[in-house]
Amino acid sequence: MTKKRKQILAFSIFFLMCVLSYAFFDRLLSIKTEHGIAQARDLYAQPRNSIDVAFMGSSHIHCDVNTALLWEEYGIAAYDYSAAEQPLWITYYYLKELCKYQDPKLVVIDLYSPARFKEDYQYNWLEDNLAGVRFSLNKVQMILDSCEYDKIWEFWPSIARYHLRFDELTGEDWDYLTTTRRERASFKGYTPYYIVTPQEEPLLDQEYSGGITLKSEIYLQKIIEYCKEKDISLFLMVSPYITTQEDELVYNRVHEIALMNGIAFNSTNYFYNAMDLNFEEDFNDNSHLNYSGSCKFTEYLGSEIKKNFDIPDRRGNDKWESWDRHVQEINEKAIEAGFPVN
Amino acid sequence: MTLTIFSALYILCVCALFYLIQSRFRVGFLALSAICYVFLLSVPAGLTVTAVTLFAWGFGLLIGIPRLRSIFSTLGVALCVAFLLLMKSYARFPFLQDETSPLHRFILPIGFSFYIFQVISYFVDLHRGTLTPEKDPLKMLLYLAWFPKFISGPIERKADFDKQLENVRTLRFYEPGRWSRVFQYVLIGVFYKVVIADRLGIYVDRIWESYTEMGSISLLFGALLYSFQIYCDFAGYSYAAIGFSLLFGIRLTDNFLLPYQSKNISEFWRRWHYSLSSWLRDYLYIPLGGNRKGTARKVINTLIVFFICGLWHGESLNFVAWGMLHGFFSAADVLLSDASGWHGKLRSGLPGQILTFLAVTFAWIFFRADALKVAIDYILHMLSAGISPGGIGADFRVLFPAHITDLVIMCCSILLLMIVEYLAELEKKSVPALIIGKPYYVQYAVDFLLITGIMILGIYGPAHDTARMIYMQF
Repeated sequence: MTKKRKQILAFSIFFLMCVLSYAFFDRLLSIKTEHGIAQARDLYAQPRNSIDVAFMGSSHIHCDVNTALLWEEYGIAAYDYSAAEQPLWITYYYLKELCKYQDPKLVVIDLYSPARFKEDYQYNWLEDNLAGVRFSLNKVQMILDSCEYDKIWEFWPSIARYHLRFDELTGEDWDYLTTTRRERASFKGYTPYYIVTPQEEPLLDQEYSGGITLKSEIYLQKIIEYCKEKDISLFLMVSPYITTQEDELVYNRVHEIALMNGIAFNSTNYFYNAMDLNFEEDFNDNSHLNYSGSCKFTEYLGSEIKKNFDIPDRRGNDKWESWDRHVQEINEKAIEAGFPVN
Repeated sequence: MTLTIFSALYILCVCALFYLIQSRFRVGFLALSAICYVFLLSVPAGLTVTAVTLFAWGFGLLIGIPRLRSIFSTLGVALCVAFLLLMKSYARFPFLQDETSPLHRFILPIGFSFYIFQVISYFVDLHRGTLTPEKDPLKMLLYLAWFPKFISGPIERKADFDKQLENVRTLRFYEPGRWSRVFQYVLIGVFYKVVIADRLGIYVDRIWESYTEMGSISLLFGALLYSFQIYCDFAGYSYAAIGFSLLFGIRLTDNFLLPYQSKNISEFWRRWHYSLSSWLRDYLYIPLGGNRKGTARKVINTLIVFFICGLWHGESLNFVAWGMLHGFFSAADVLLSDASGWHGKLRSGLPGQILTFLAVTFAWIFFRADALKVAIDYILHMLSAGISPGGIGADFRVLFPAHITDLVIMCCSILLLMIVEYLAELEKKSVPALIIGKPYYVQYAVDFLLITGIMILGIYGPAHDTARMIYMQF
């Protein structure tokens, strides 16, 4: 081999080693929360064009929407593609990211975030919203719309935030090194809570509408246009929680927008009885349902979806076998936590 | 320039355009890129360096007129010194301390101390006739504002810099060995700064914040850490500056020549911040008479030079004390070098190296302190505190509350530094030059370790300010 070829080979090995080293340490040291990072990250492990219904929005989605139950009872191949306190501008970019790899029939968006959080830049859970998404032009746009200019470099590159986590590594971090794509595919975003905290049923008598910020409304409109363009059905909803008068203002406004655009809307806070929701047993806290509450809510939601949208039953199909494994895992965790499983 | 993503992206863009444009426009393009960079860093700094460029260029042309040479060179140097003194003494003028005042922003421009010394050297060299006046204002701008060396030097000489500009026009994208040199200098510089210096800085700050509650060993540990911190911070920046500058064919002065391998203090000052020490030698020490007028005068000249050196860093007494300490050490070395017998052993071999390092470390205490009183207090605590009430373990639990991972990394990196620099000293090369001289597969292996080390051990990210360099404040 000539000297030049040897040098080219040496450089190629060097480059490959650097890339592998980066991949290894990124995988080991990356933060692996289930407040959005795991949900975004494991989207990429899902079989292509297998997700029929994507649930998007805040933690109200991945805590309250039981994707295992939707599969078991309705054959709906669903994924909770959400993150904590996710604002609508991030939901918009998540939607675009989703459509790179999936061909959903229906997108269901929870509206808690635009109702409760009014700042144009929200940093509390931004890392959980961003870190699981692959780097791309879409992600760059997501970051630019989510951060003020002087804060951009605090959130990208992601490795800058977690590269010194050596002292915080747990078994989960080391296990993740050898977790296969197949194993990750059985995670569908659903991460239920198992605590029981009694709550007081809220009073719902808000007659006015408003309160949504301009930025949220702009991005809601972008989401609506994008779904029309991609021929995706859109369903705007509010999952059950201890809502407030201020929050209801926003939901009423979004309801108006939904009506203007011919989009399905359901604020499920008006249907506690229909869900048989028990305020003594079914809440984890004033914002999230626990496992049993999520089962009741999801059962109701699933029947609404089946009634109003044409979503195929994928049970028994090999391509969707990861949902069977998902059901098994969720049931095992529920039993471990002391919740009964049907 | 600062070591930030912004600077890296800026350099990449400038580099790409540099190789695309016609070669005859390259010097002008670099000059404009340099001033743009400075303006992006700080508008007052940009305006100041532009004003100083016009001043230096204009006065340079006037000095070039034989009958005006003396008066304008003297006036030029005097104005530079006056403005420098004014900037260093701003603390005495309350109206300049008002941060809302426009004057405040102009009186503390970034990099001023470094490029004003370049202007002084330019005027003196013109006066001596070793240089001809620069007719092209863009070349003058490039000389003063060249962005890889802007902020913290090195302090380049006009003649040397002009020689480098001759390469710029003929430089080709691919030249054997150049890119390898670029990567080695940049990687090693970033490693020194981001892995070693910035990590040490965290713990040095913690020690200094609570030094009154710590034991002697911890305070000695803090002093030693600072010695390595300031070296790796400044040397790292300098190596990176050399590397980035080589992208454009401009070779900057090697500012650090393994200073902690020095066997005596005189040698230390031939290796530490070489561009400053050689400037002081050529424009202050030699004009004062140097060593040509006997030992006594040599000692006095040495003391004067180090007094000025201390003042250049800052007019507060701790910097003056630091400078004078080095002055006394250097004066003592002058006397020891003339003496025969066992004294010679104190300035050679391993004993000389250890003594020099300890002397320099002791002086750094004054450099690090916010004030002379604080430095003296630190030293008194170091000498008298003994073991702290909770023992050395208690001190280390304050410094490393959760884990000792960083302590292990610091100790390993300092050990690695000492070994590598020892090997470099054996070959009489800088660390980057040592690596460059090795076979390509060795270079790739070293680069891989450096990149991985920077990636997983570097102190960077939202919780850290890596743009900050110790010598930026001067």
